[in-house]
Amino acid sequence: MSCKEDKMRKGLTYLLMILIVSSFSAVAAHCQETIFVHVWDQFGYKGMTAGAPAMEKVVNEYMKLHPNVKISRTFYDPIAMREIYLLAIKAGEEPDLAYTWPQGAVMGKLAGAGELYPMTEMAKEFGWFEKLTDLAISYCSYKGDLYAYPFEQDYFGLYYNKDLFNELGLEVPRSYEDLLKLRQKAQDAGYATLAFGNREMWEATNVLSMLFALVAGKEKEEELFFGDAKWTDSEFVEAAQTFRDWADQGFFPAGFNSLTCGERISYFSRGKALMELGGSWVIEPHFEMDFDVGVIMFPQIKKNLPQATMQGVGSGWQISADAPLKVQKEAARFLDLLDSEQFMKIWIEEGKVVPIRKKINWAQYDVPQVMKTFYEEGEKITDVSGYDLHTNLPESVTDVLYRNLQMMLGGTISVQEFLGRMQEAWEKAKAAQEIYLP
Amino acid sequence: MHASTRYRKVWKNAGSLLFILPALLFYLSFVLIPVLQNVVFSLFEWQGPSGHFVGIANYVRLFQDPIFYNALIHNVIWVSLTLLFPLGIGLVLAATLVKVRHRTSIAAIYFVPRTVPFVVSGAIWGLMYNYEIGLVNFLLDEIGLSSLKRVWLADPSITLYALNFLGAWTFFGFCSLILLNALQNVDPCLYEAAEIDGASSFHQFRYITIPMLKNTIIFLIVYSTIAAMTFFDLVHITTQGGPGYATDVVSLYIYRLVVREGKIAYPATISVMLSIIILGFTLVVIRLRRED
Repeated sequence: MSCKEDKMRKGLTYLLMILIVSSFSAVAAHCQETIFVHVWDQFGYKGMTAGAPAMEKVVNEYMKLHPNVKISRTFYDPIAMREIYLLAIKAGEEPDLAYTWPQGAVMGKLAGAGELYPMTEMAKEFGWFEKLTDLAISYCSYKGDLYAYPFEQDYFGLYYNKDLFNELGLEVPRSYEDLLKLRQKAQDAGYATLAFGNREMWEATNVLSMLFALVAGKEKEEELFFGDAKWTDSEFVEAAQTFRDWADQGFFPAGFNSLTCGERISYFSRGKALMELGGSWVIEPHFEMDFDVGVIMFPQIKKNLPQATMQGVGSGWQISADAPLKVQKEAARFLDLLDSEQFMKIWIEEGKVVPIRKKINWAQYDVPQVMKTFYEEGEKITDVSGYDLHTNLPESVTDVLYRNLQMMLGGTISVQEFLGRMQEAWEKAKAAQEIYLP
Repeated sequence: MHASTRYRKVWKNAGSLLFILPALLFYLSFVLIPVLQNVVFSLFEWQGPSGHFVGIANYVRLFQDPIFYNALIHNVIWVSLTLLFPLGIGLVLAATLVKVRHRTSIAAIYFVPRTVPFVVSGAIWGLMYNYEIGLVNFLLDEIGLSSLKRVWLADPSITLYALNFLGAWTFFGFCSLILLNALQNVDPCLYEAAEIDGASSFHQFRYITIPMLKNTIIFLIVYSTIAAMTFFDLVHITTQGGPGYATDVVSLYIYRLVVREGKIAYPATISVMLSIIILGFTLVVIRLRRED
């Protein structure tokens, strides 16, 4: 065999080997690297969290940047998501990534049971801790680790019907005394002062959370949640009594305990109330009302405590602990893009969803004034604002809170009975080591 | 018996057993074993995946639980009202319709509410019961009965009954259709003979219709009781057991404990107790029927 032939044979053999290896790796790369990420979210087109247009853009952009990743979305109604997700977790059928609520105690329980993927390392890698607020990080942490990505800033305030105020010759209240005086004038003119509904039970919890911040103060709340204060302490009694007084004095529509959140918004949109107790998470329906809508934060109530509101992180992104590691990492990378500066404008302008930031420059966003005002005013009182009760309480206490608060407002039980039952449930939860500590 | 005959009989039975085996296995896997598993769960206390035996401690807790008693009383009220109204109305309707032409078509119209999913009925009736814009209060206004207007879904003294009315609306058509079917099988000669003997319509109903429908009525009583003791969706959609605990029922309580609170042992205990109550009632009815 000549040397030339030998070289040719060797060359051909090498070529063949290279071809075989490269085709195998191409097939393997194709098979291994197509990563499917199943996502459940609450972004629809109308009402609460109407962020679907923004979410769709983020998903498409991510799949364009990462052609080997396929993201499938499933939409769930925001109210239903809470229970659907918990059921799915119990059945081991949860998605890889879910946008669900509440964080705090419920998230902590899931994290403690090993159901959630800890995101601390990813958060450090992507610099999430630098852009998110401390309160949001705390709501999504359990035993020092981050288990959910806080995304939406929630504030609680007062929407008001500007046209109706003008028509009745009334001034928008600047103090709590002004607000109290409005009731009689509103009633005389045939309107409710505050549109409010509580059939779904969580709505009154938001109002009580705000009243705890205004009447008891954030420090006292922290003594309750993380210290030895009692639900029956005088500050909490006063806060609950204030709420009960509003109900008794006719601040709310008749039968408020039978109105759902949607019916409450509808009540306000039909011009039946001067103002509406509501959160920033339902801001979208307020853009389309037949009258001009304004918003203020609830006025200061106690002279020794600052104006405050309830601020929460209703929903957060959670990654399943059962998902394969590469899917978990892909989900985290997806979250990083979802909440990047690149998409901030799209979320705010097209999704009407405000991602959590330490400071937002509202001048650069083209959104209705009511939205800007809500977040600018909320941001001013962030440091003194209080906790969202049903985020901080374990579910066993939340159930007692929901039902007994509804009864207290309906007049079936007294303020003292309500808070007594809360204290009893709180002690039981403490004994069962169910209390949530970030 | 000759050995070969006995062998043939055993073989014949084995063949029958073979045919029912798939269904039996299915029943064992998805009904009997989970039921037994539930009983076992109720005897343990669970901390995550591990449990320790606590005997009847969960049953002792159950007998001291005011929320359980409150929910059970609501179920009993619901059962009583279901037996009284949808079944009663269904019986009268069936007895009336049996003499009418196109009776099956008419009964089918009454059956329509049953075909609407409870979730949809609940959502629609939730709006109809709205104090301000709901149809119920609007109609009361229109017919001059404004004094009867109520906050139907927020007044603890009436909300359970308002929901039961909605339940009756979905159920009476079903009862009338089943009873009408049974009535059509009653020999008309019995009514002709009674007429000749001068029996009034009421006496015909009392002494012919009801006795001839006894088996169907017993079936409906057992069926309605099981449905009423375990009903869930209407309450969950409309009031979630509220205001407060005014419309709370046992299934909803179990659901809250399992789904919201993530408990296993105590809701299993309540489920076992609910099964015992339903089984006990059914056995009593069957026994009474046999004695009769």
